[in-house]
Amino acid sequence: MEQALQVENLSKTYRRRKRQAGLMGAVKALFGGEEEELKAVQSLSFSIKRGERVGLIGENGAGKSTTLKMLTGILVPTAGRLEVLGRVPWKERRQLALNIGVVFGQRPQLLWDIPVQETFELLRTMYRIPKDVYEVVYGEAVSRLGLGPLLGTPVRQLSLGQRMRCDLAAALLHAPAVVFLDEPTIGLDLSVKEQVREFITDIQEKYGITLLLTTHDLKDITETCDRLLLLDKGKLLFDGSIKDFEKEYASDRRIVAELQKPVSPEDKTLLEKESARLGGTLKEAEGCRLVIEHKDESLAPPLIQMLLSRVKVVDLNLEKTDIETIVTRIYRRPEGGRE
Amino acid sequence: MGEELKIYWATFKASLQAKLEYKLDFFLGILTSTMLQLAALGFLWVVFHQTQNLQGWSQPQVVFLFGMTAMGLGGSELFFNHIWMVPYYIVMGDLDRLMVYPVRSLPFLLISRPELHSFGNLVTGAILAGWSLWKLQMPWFDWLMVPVWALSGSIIYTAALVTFTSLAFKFVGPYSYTLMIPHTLLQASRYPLSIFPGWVHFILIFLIPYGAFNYLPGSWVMGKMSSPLLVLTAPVVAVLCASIAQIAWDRGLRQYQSTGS
Amino acid sequence: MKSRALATPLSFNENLASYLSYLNRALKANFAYKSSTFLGLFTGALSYGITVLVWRHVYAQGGLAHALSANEMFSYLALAFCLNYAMTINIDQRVGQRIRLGLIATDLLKPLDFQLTQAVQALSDSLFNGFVGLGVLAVVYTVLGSAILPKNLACLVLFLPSVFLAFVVQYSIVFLFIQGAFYTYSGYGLFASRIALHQTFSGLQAPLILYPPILLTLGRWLPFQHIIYSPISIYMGRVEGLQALNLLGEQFLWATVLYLVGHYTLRKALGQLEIQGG
Repeated sequence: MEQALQVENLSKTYRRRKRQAGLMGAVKALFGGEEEELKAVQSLSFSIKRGERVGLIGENGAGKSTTLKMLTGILVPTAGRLEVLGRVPWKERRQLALNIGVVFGQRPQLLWDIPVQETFELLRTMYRIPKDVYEVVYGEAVSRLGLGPLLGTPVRQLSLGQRMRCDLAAALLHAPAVVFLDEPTIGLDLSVKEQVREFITDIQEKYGITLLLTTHDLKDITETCDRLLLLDKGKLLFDGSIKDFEKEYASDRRIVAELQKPVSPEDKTLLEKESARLGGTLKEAEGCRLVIEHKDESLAPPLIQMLLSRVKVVDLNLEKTDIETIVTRIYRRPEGGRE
Repeated sequence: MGEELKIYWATFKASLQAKLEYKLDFFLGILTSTMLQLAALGFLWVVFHQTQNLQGWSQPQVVFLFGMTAMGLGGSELFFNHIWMVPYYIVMGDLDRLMVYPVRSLPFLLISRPELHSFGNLVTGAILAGWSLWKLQMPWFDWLMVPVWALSGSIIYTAALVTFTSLAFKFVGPYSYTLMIPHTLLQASRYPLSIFPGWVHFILIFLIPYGAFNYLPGSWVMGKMSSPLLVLTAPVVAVLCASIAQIAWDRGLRQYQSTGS
Repeated sequence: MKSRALATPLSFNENLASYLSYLNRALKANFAYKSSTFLGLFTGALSYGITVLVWRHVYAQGGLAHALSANEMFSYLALAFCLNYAMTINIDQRVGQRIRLGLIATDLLKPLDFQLTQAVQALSDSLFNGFVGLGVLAVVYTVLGSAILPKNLACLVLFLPSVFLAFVVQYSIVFLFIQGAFYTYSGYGLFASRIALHQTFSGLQAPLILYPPILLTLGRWLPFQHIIYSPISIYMGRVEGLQALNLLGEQFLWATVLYLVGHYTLRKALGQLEIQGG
C-alpha cells in the first residue's frame, strides 16, 4: 500500500462546560452552565506515503497532540475522514495497533511496575515480533540508547529521560509500518538527544518505517525528517519539504557588525544608500551596532565589502534565519496566516 | 483468541512477579485482609451470642456465606484489582496508553495489576467455607462446586466495579469513592438475604446480583431451597454480568474518546 | 510547650495563636474537599445500614432476653453512628501524603510540635464531620424521637468531656499507627488493621455489653471502647454519677498514656523514616 496515512477535512471540537472557580461555580456547572467550544483541529487535510519522514510542529494548543491521538485511534474525530494503513483508527484500533508504534512524550507508555526487560519480553509476545526483528531492534536500542543498566529496573522507578528512551525502544521494537512520536526527545540531555535521533533515523531507514514526529525542538525535525507540517490553532499552515519551508518563509539574512566607534549620521545615510544599491536594507544603525538585511546569500560578499570600506569594523557576524526564527516570526504575525 | 489469552497470562505473570518482590508488603497485606475478615466474624460472633439463628440459618451456615463472599472478594482483587485505578487514570489522562496496545482494553487493564494482599481474603474465605461444609457434613459435590461459585463471584463483583467505573467516565472526578458503593454492598451478601427487607433482597439478587454466588447456592447447599437450577445460577449470572460490564465499559470508553481528557 | 528549632520558646499566647490559625486553615481545607468527604461518609452510612438491618432482624425474631430493649438498641446504634462521624479523622492520609511529597521535613522544622499540630488538624476534621453527624442525628430524631436524647442534663454535661477524651484516645491511637506505618513502609496494612480493631472493639457495631465473654474481656482491656461505647454509655445514662466519673477517669488515663507514648516514640519513628529514605 502506497499511502500510509490519509487525512481529509479532519476536525475535532471539544465541548467544555465553562466552570467558574469556587464552590458556587461547581454547583452552577452541575446544573448546566454555558458550553464553550474548543476547536482543537479544523479541517485538516494531508496524506503521507509509506516511508516518508514527516515532522509536525506548532505551538502548544496548536492541535498536534489531538491530531496524533486521532491518528492512533485514541480520540474520535468530530468530522472528516482519516485512514492509517487503510484502516480507520478509532474503529479498528486493535488491528491498527499491531502495525503502529506510539510514543507520547510526557506520558509514559509502559503500564506496569515490572522491570524494563520483562516489559520488552511482554511486548514481544503481544506484537508477535519475529525473532530476527526483535533481536536487531532490541540490540540496537540497548546499545545505542544505553538501556543496559536500566533493564532490571521497574518502569515506575525510571526518570523521565530514562523512561523516554525505553518508550522509544518499545515503540520501535516490532518495526511497525508507521511510528508516531510525540515529543520523543523531551527531557533528554543534548548528547542523548543526538543518540535518540540517530537511533530513530537508522531504524527508520532499515525497515522503511513511516515516521510522524511532533516536537518543540526543531533540530529533531531537521535531523530526522524530510517534510514539515505546521499547525497553528488547529489549522494546517504549511505542508512541504523543509527546504521549501525555509525558502518560503526565510525572510532575511543579516549582517551584524560591531563598530570601533559609534556610527555618525553622515555614515548612516551613506550606508543606507549603498546597501540599497547592492540589494540590501540597513535595518539598524545605533551606536556601535549595525545590521544589514538581505534576501540572498550571494548579496553578502559585496555588502560586506562595501561595509568594510566605509567604516571600521571590529566584529562581524552573518546570521541566517533558521526554522526556529521563522516559526517565531509566523506566530508574531497578527493572524498567524500566510501572507 | 488463544493468542490474546496468552498475552493476558504473560501480563499477569509479569505483574505478579514484580509484586512478589515486596515480601514484607505481601505478608502485611495478607495480615490486613485477614484482620478485616476477622472483624466481620467478630461481629457475627456477637450477633450469634444474642440469637440462635438468623431466619433459620445457623451459625455454621452463615459462616458458609461469609466464606463465599470472602472468596469472591479475594479472587476479584487478586486478579482484577486494576479497576480501582481507573478513576485516577481518567483524571490524569493516563487512560490513553491503554489504547495504544493491540489488545482489548478491559481484560488487559483488569489483569495487569494483581493485588497480592487479597490472597488473605481468598484463603480465609476458603477456610471458612471449608469449615462450614465439614461441620455440616456436606457431600463432596458441594466441595467441588465451591470454586466454581467463588470464581463466578469474583467475576460478578468485578463486573459491578467495572460498571460503576464506566459511570465515572461520565462524571470525571477523583471518584474512586463510587467504587466504594459496590464494595460496601458486597458486605451485605455475607448474611442470608432473607433477613433483609424485600427491596434489599431485590437489589442483591436482580440488580447487583451478589446473591447469585453466595445466598442462592448456599440455600441449595443448606437444603433451604431445593431447585437444582440454583447450582448453575452463579456461572450463568457471571457470564451475564461480564457481558453487561463489557458493554458499559465500551460505552464509557467511547465517551472518553469523544470528549478527550 | 516544647519548642523545636527556635532558641527562645514562644509564649503561651503566641503558641495558641499559631495553633488556632492552623485549625482555621484545616477547617477551610475540609470545606474544599467537601464532595469527597460526603461520598466517603455516605458509604460509611451504607455499611452501617447493613449492621442496623442485621440487628433489626435479630430483634424482630425475638425469643432471647436482651440486655437492651429494641428502643434502647436502636437509639444506641444511631447515637454510635453519629458519634463515629466526629471520630472520623483523616490524619492517616494527610501524613502519608506529606511524607510522599517530602513535606514532612518542613513540618518538623517548624517551631510547633508535630503531634500537636496534627492533633489540631484532626480536631478540625472531627468538628467538621461532627457537624455532619449532628445533621444526621437531627434526621434520625424524626424517626426515633426523644429516645435519642440524653437521659438527663447531668448525663449531657458529663458527655461533653467524655467526647473530648474519646477524641484524644482516637487521635492518639491513629497517631501511633501512623508511626507504625513508618516502620513497615506500607500505610495500607496498618491502616486497615486499625479499622478492623476499631470496628470490633469501639462499640460501633454493638454495645459491648452484648459481647460474648471472651470478646468482652478483650474489649475491656483495650482502649477502643472509650471511643464510642464509653461516651454513649454516659449519654444514655447507662452509667451515672460516681460510675460515670469513674469511666471518665478511665478515659482520661488511656488518653494521657496513649498521647504521651505517641509523643515519646515519635523521635525514633522519624529516624526510621529517614532510614527508609521517605
